[in-house]
Amino acid sequence: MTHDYTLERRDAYALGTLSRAERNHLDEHLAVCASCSRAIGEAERVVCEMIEMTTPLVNAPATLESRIKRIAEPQRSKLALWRARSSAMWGALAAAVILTLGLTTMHFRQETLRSDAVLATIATSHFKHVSLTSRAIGAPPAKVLYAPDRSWIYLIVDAAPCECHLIAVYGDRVRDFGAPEENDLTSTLFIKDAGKPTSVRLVGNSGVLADGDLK
Amino acid sequence: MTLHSIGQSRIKTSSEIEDASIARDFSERRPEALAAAYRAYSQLLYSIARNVLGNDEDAEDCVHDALTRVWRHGFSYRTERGTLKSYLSVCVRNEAISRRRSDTRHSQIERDAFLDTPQSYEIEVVDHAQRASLRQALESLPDEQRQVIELSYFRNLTQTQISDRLGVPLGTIKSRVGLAMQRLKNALRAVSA
Repeated sequence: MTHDYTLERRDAYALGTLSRAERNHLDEHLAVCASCSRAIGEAERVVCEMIEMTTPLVNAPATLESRIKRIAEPQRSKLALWRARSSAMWGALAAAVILTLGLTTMHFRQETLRSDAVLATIATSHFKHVSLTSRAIGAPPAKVLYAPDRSWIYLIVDAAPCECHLIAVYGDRVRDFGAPEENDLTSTLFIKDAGKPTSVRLVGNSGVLADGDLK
Repeated sequence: MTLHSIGQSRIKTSSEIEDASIARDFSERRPEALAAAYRAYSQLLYSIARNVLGNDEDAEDCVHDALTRVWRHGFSYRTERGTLKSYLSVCVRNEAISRRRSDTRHSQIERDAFLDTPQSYEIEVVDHAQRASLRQALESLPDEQRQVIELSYFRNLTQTQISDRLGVPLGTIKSRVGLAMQRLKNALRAVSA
């Protein structure tokens, strides 16, 4: 998917002349491209004005609002589950780091942190962390540890295997860092020279699974 | 039927309250944002679906399914895309058009779309600068550009169908749509500037 491909179809998208499959295809690119989002937003604005000019308004039935409210309800319980799992995952990671610091002379090797370089970087640095926000049903909980200057990032996905890619966003540019590697219960990916991304996205076959800003 | 012959009758607009706030919450997927967005735009969204599908039951399902898809696969809305109202309106309209295309019960409607049966479309007559500018831009489009917009927007034909109907190459149709849309975007930009 390219900018040209998306921009070529932006008017057809807004006018409703694309098939559902074509629209889904474009949506995948729009999820990670701010410039194309702005471009398609302009076309949508034109169509929305045309809609408002030409559509006689009728009131929606009262039953519809209750149906709409229910759409978000499963997300709430999923959010609670995510928070609980996220806390457990974070606790486990903290324990792993502390344990690693104490056992470095024993050449302790553990599975989550795959290499000495990763260990050294994380254990000897200040770092921040962000829990990625779920954007799709079934998205696995995921967390990113990163340097305060965002020079390195470390992705931990609470699923193994995880059929996903890590996309780093740099303003209007994105970079695909590929799939995390499967460990015992998690999948991880360490990017030593991340290049200061402003946000990250976990992208699966059907689109963005989760994302988060690196502040 | 041309844009020049659009009938004129007063209709209400949906409220524009808290648009930016709702859009921000929606993009951050706050659980309460979906219901808030629906409350703000329910009349418009339902009317869009009702207008395309022609009956209440299908319109209700259409809005529900469109918002379900948007929310659960909600990766495509970000605030830089524009207003949430525009985004949701186009999503619901696209869903309605897809349903109509795929529903054999509406085959007669599809056939009618190819006919020059006069239809009356209502247009809001309010002193709204953007809308007035857009309307003026629509009416001043060259005939061949206005024609493809009419067939795309009002009759919901695909570009391939328009190409077949007019006997004009698909690339030419795409080009005409692109030129027409650019003029309309420029008209809105000029009002916003």
